[in-house]
Parts: sequence; structure tokens; C-alpha cells
Amino acid sequence: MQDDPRDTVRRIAALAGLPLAEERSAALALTLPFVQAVVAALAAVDYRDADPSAPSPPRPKATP
Amino acid sequence: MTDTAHLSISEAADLVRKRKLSPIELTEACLERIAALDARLRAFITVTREDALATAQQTAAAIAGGNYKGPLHGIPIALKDLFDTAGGRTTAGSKILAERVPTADAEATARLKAAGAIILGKLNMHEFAFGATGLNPHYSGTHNPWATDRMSGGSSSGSAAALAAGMALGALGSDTGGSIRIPSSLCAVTGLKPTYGRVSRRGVVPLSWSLDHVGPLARSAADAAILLKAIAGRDAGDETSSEVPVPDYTKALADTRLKGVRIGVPDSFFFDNVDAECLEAIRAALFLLRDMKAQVDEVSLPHASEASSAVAAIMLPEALAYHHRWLAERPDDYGEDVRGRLELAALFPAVTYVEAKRLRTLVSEEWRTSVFDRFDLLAVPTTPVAAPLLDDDSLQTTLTLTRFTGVFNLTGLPAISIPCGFTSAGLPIGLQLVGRWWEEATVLRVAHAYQQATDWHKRTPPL
Repeated sequence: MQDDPRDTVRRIAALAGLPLAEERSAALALTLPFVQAVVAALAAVDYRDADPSAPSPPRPKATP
Repeated sequence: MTDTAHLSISEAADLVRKRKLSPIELTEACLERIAALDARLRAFITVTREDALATAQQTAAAIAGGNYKGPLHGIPIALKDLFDTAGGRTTAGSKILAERVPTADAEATARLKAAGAIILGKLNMHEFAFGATGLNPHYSGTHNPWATDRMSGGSSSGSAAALAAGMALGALGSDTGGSIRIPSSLCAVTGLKPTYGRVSRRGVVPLSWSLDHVGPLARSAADAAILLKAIAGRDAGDETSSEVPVPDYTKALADTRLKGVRIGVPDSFFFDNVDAECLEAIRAALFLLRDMKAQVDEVSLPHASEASSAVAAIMLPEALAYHHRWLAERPDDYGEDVRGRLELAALFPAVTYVEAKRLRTLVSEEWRTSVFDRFDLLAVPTTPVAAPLLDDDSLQTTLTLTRFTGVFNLTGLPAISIPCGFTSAGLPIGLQLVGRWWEEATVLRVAHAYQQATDWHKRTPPL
């Protein structure tokens, strides 16, 4: 049996300290496909050895 | 002859320096335009009329006394209402901060004042800069001067609308996913997002620390060069600001020859699902750049399509982190769209945030070594569509408007939007030019060369 998306978002938001009323849970549940698409897109990338803490933008090697 | 309030900064500065135009006259001309038009356009949240006139009088006296400071001396400028102004209300377009009065200027505000600029007031914006439409439930949406039933785009909505309508000669905005370039494109003005770290963000209400940029909106690339020179450079109070030397951007404009400039046009993503009239205008601009002897070739941009996901995965959680307490304690004080986005942010897993940061590193390295080794610039549409109708404030509209801009926030590359045409309905279209990190001078030089060969940026809306 699948979870009700409204319960899913309500539980996650509560973990983040954001209690949601029923109507807000229902509205937020409609955005789950967007979140799932972002999560899936980023999970599919081969990051090789990319370091999330690398300086951005890359520091110039010489004065431009 | 150009109306006083529609002069470029370069033109006005020349007249002010020669004492053929008084800063008082210039400021009054802008204030008259604001008084006549802002009830329709809603570009301003706060107009500091008395302060502006008092500063104009002091400025006129200083210049008459031989103390001319440079091209911003006596020039009326307006600020997006998230730049702190000492003693002046700074709302960030929100109800939450509606009564907030900072005690110090933002660094960019202070640098403009030091250059002699006259601050006209604080400009309307998307609430907390968290949206690309410029619609705002607390201060009204900003209407597009080219078609008042259309949105001006955002989040720096008032900045672009005020410039297009002749209410100010220059403006500052902020850009986290396109918020300078999108309204610039939709309102036919020139907007530059500099390299991440080029301009201090101290005293600017944040949206997403990893993606926030500060930059100028202006009537031309030449004017953007003047504004950027004034605000750029290291600020010890902002750890992200860089020590990379700031060149003389205006001097860099002198060479308008494009021979030898290599422009890359992406072979996918940036030209997918673009409105036909926008596409036609972009292609015409690329043909013109080629006619001007630039070398224009196709380029492949690795991971461009995933970059939009990374922008969302960074921006949303960082915004929630900033707003967390207010959202828990005062949720009803947010507009519905911003509140919904902050709640949406809570759904993103931490691993996705880290992956997005890894993608930023990966994309930056790949583009540095396989794109910007062969090209000086990229050329792409700023937005895939012209200005949508004012009531079209869905998440999908913001995702559409930011589709081609957010990736350059992720990479931190400097990017400018310049007018390159109009639709058959008279709506502006913008071309985006993107340079290497720290090479705003090249971006501005090519934009300026294009504007020397075209007059799109000189057109004024039928108000």
C-alpha cells in the first residue's frame, strides 16, 4: 500500500519544525513530483571526485 | 532630443561635468516621472524625495565648487528594496520586514553614495527576492512599462521598470536565479550579474548565500560599466567578496571590434522550447555578431540541463534556513507563493543539497577546461518567452523564466542581458552574453559593441 502524499509531506515538514494544516499539506503534496524530479536528476549524475566544498568560482591563476 | 529623465548615465554625466545640466534638474525630472507614472507601474516601495532633493542641492554646490567626483556624481539612482539604507526603511518587499530601518548602509549603497550618486528611493521586488515574476501581494506587482497588463519580471522588478519608464538613470538589483537579467530582458534594459564575489553583498537581505549576486541595471552596457566600477571590489565585511583586481570597465569598451572574439552558441537545452519570435530575434543578433566579425560556433555545455535542478536544490533549502524562524512563527505574514516555496524547501533531502554543490564543482571544472578554453563568451536567450500576463504567478512561470539564467548563478559566471528585439505585440526580447569568471570587461565590451550597431536599448515604452 502506498503512503498518502499528504501524510508524507506533513511528516517531512514536521521533522523540519513546520507543522502543516490539512489544506497546506494537500497543496504541498502537489509539488512532490517536482521534488522527485530534482532528486532523480541529481542522483543520476556521475560526480567523479567533485568536492562540494571546492572554491566557487574557480580562483584565477593570474591577474586578468 | 532625449528627455532629461531618459538620458543615459554617460550622457547625463557629460552634461553635469560641463555644468550644462544641474543634478537638481536631473533629480527633479526623475521625481516628476515617478509622480506621474508610479501609481500605474508600482516600481517603487519608498520614494525618498526630500532626501534626494537635499542631496542634489549639496551635489550641485560641490560640483560648482570644482569638486567633481566622476561619472556618478549627481546621477539619480534607485535601489532594490533589499539594499540596506541607513535610516531608511528596507522591506525586502515583505510584510515581515515592513518596518525595518537599518542603521548602516549596505556596502554597495555606501559605494554608490561615495561616488556621488543621488538615491531616489527603494524599488519594488518579488517578496524576499523569492520569485521571478515581480508580483507582490504586499506592495502590488510591478507593471511592465511596455504593456501594463504584463509583468515586469523579477525579482528586481522595480529596478527594470523604473529604468524603462525614465524614473531613474540607473539601479541596483540582486540575482540568485536570474533576478537582474530576467526583468532586464522583459523591460528592454541592460542588466549585469557579475562574477560571484565581484560585488559585496554585505547589507543585502539574502535569499541563498551560495547563489546571491549583486549587480547593476542600466540603459546600456556603457552605463552598467560605470555602475559596476563603483560597486565592485573586495569588502572585508563579506567573506565571499574577492580580491581579484577591478579593471577600468569603461576603458575596456573603447575597442568595439569583435574580430577574434569567440562566441559559443549551445547546441541544446538553451534553444529548446523557446518562443518563435524570441528565437528569431536571438538568431538575428547572432548573425549580426558574426557580421561584426565575431567567430560564432556551436558548443556543447556538459550538464547544462541538470544545473537547473541544482539551483533549486541549493536555493530552496538555503532560503528556508534564513526564513525558518519567521516561517514557524509568522507564516501568515508571507505571500502565498513565497510561503509555499519555503514549505516546499523542507521536502528536499540533505543528500540532494550536497549533490547540487558537487554538481557546481563538476560543471565549473568541465566548462573551464572544455568550453572556456575555446570560447570567450556564450550567447543564449535570457528567457524563453516575453513578458507573461500579470496574473500568471505560478511556480511554473518562475521555472520558465529562470530556465536559462539559473545555471550561471550556479557557476558564478558573469552574464549580461541586453535588448535584442521586440515581439509583434511590442514586448521586449533579451540576449544573454556570458563570459569567463572575472571577465566582466569582455562581457561589457561585446554588449557595448552590439549596442553601437543597434538601437533596441534606446527605445522607450509608449507610456
